[in-house]
Amino acid sequence: MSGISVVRPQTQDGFLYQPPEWLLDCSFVEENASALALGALDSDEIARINSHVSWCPNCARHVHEIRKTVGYLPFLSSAAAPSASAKSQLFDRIKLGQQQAPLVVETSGRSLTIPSSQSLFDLENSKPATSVTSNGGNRTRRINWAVFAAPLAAVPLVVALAIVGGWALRTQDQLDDRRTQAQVLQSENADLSAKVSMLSNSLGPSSSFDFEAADSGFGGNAGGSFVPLVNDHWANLTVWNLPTTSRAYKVLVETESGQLQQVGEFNVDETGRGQVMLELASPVDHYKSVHVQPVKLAENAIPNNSIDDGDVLWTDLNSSLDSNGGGTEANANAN
Amino acid sequence: MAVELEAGAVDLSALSDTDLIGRVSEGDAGALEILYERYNRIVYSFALRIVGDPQIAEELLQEVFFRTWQQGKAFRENRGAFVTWLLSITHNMAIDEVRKRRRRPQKADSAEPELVLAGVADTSQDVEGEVWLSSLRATIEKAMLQLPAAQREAIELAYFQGLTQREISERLGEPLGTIKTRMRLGIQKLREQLGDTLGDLFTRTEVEEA
Repeated sequence: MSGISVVRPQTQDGFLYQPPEWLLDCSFVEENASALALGALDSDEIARINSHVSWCPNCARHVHEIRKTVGYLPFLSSAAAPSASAKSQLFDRIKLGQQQAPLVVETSGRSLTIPSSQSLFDLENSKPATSVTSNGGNRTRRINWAVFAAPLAAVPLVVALAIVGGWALRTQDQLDDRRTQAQVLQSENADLSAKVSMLSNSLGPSSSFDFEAADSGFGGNAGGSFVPLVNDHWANLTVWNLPTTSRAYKVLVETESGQLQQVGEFNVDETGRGQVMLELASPVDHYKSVHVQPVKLAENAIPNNSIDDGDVLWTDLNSSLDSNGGGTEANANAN
Repeated sequence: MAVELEAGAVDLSALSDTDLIGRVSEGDAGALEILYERYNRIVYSFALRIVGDPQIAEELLQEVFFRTWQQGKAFRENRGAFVTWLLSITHNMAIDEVRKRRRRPQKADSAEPELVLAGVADTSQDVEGEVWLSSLRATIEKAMLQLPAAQREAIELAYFQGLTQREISERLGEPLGTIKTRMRLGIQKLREQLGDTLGDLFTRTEVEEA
């Protein structure tokens, strides 16, 4: 901040010591704090401010106040609501993570396992703008700006120590951050390995059901796979090349009595690809078939109980099981 | 899909955001569900405002809460309210997405954000939450509208469209110094107008508890 005055020690020849630019950079921070909080600075400018506010408590406070004001801006957004499937997909993903990478298991009726939440990576450090409070607050207590006004003979030594100490602190912080990030990556890698292992184990010939597109009509080259997972109460459904005239699809299973039950809903991307984890009330072999239908068409199809109406993809689970895993009978119907 | 809670669990909906995120960091999916119920609409609306595509906004919504689930320990109460933290994550991710897309060729049929917004129905059943959001929005909108148009434009281009001040300068054909001044003065005026009046609005749950 411009309110801080820095006394530069002088000799007869001029400045004995010229502090680096970032140490005297209050005006730069004041000029750019708003752009920093708005995310409108380039990386070198962000680094320059970061360096400065780690030493200057007034500027750290100023940036913090500006950030608070900018923090109100998201509330300008017009009200809108996500689809219900967004929530179910999120918690499906969380459940899957809990099943496949458990650290602690609690059993109280049917309770959830505790996921690996070792990730300590500070999200706020990943953004372009700097975090101010902790860095600025802690470090700045170590620096007494009054030393700049100390007797001339002591100034070079004090300044040099301060700079070296500051660099050491920043370097240590950076190392700590890198270590934390490495731990997070290792943890995520372990989680992914567990998931891959789980999926690989479940991809045996008797437990994988492939959807195939029929030659005719709407299905085109649509395809997919239906893979039962743990205890056959969970299944992973992956589809590709689905018609993108509908982005929202639902998954229905046909019970032994011929009734359709919806077990999931998902969106496909612009290439027609989608994926969803399904939770089944009964093991997979209690169902006769799986159907993938556009959400709107499926609503019309269910009242008539006409299973094929609106199908984009389906697979016959019984024929596959009966054939002892020798293959699957799959189909795709025109919409 | 509702996440089952353990028998005898406390009434999570009565807990503050800080308590809930603490439980989330210990693996309590029920606590995350409450936070999702409280803030999914503002996160989604904010992401939609930036990316202008409902599907991408939903993906961002899921990713924001999934990261909250994975990295809840990163939240520090002394840095501000939970919702501020959540929205800063949303902003970073949405702006990253916008900048990525800006580097790719644009689709000819991509809709304007405002048109997309107009077509999205708010099906919220959380009347209390909606009142809270409306109150916040009205206060901040009023303050924004009192800014000169040029200052408001600079702020919106930076914050909601992810442009740097140099890019804004090029787009508007104005000197960089002018853009810096507009941003600085605009935020300064907002700060003066909003002052501490909004401080309490971010402690919604604590107020409700009392």
